[in-house]
Amino acid sequence: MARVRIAIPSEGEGGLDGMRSGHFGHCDVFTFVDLEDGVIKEVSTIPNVEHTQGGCMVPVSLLAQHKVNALVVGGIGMRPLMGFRQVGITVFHEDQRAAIRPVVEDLIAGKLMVIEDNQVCGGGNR
Amino acid sequence: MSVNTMRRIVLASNEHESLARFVAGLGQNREVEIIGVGTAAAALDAVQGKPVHLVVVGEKLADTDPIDCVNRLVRLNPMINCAMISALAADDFHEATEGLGVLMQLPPNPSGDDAAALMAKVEMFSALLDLNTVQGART
Repeated sequence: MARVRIAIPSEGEGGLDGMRSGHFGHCDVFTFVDLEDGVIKEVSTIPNVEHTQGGCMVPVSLLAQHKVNALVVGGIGMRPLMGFRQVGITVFHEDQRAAIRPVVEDLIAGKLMVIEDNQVCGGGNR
Repeated sequence: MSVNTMRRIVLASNEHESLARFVAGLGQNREVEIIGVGTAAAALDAVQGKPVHLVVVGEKLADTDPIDCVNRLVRLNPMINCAMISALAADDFHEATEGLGVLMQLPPNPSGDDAAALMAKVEMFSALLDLNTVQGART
């Protein structure tokens, strides 16, 4: 049985019918969507940790410790992207839709692309 | 990380003589090993093979600019904390280094107090990275 945990940076209380956060480091909560053989089995949330300058590896560690396999972001910096890769979390890119549910459905359907180095935010994109 | 663990710090700069007060401050409250290098290439070598807790990148390097150095360090090992000495205004610094997760901007000729503040931040993030498992998932 293939089990996958997807994390979505979310606003407010999150959840499958919630809204995504544009900046993963500043999101209110992470919505976790647990799949078994490509079917949604459970949805849960955890609060994000406070984001301060230089603290972008803290959520990387948080999601790794919660055994996340995939993350969907609208934007991300080079350092956290490298961190997610190092801990084995695949980062997908989707910067058009704010609602969580259709983005999760597209990820399950294999329609989202893995983020490339040249899609990172700011000074890391050199 | 234990509070008693020695901290290994790479100081990448062409201006080591102007950093004496800063270096003294780094070791004020705990044992530190300072590895002084003058190039980004040497900084990259220094962080491989041994655990390094912090890299401080100065305003001038012999082989590239400081932001490129941090960019290369982050790609090599994103877990390493980096601080940069820079005269840029805070907003310009943030813009130039966005996404690189720079721990702290230090002023030119940083003081012992700057070093103490930086080390406090290093310890804070070390603790956060160790302790953030306490937040459990809620269904």
